[in-house]
Amino acid sequence: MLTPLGHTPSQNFPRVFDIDPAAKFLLSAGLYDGKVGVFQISEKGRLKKTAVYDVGEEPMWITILNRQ
Amino acid sequence: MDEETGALTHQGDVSAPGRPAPIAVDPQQQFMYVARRDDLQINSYRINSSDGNLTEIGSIAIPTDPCHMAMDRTGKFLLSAHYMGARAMVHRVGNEGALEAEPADDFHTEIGAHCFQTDPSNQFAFVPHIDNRGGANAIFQFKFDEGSGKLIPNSPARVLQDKNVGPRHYCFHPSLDILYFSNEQGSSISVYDFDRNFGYLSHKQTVNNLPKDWTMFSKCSQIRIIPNGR
Repeated sequence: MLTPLGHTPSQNFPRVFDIDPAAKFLLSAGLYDGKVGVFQISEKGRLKKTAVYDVGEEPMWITILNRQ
Repeated sequence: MDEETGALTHQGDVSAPGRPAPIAVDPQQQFMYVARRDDLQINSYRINSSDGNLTEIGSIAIPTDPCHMAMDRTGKFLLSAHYMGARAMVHRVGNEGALEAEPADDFHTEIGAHCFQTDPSNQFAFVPHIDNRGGANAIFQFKFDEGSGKLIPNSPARVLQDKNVGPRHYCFHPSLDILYFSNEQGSSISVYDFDRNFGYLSHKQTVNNLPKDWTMFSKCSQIRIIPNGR
């Protein structure tokens, strides 16, 4: 069962996001502003934005791979 | 991506014209597949394991544009869900990561097909359909034949939804028999028990996903679960 924890402002229209395999970071892509936000994930599951990058118009997907 | 700080460094670009959208990666992370929605093509790439760079292998034509793709659990098949195409397609991975042009299955569902994955046992599959522009507003339940790549409707074939729920994407709990669905029209998350012997879903909870007093337009898209399931 789920319990809501809270909300965090993201990029404009966050159509896609992904979580890194180490569960330390979440990347969220804004369809309408062409930006990707990096969020640190706390032990308690809270998000803290640490950086924002321009990635070009209409980012439609984001996939984080394992480091090999 | 810096493992400690999360900082990103731009390494380069690969040209993929025609509105590239859904991405799928095989379990060994050797190959990546990208659908070019306006061009009705799926590109295959080899992933360089040391630097993450991509080398194009080839592409195949598809009849309609997919909004979501995933690999089956073995990496032998690429699964794609086609919203307006009203279908779930399966393509076999051939030599060196290239896709076979002839689909292993082309299962016509209904408008709104938005996500297609197999369960950890690779025996079952679900295709949620949203409730917009004629969408079926239901989760279609299938058995998956991992030898042939064919879908067989399970019984019951559909998990029906209340009006304006619109299940879109889903993820599996890493250790429990539970699935979580994002609901596009409902702006909510639904929790389902998963019967691992028969592949059925049973609804157990739906939670609203909006801040209190939210009055602007909203819909739900992506859903992910932390690897430890917390």
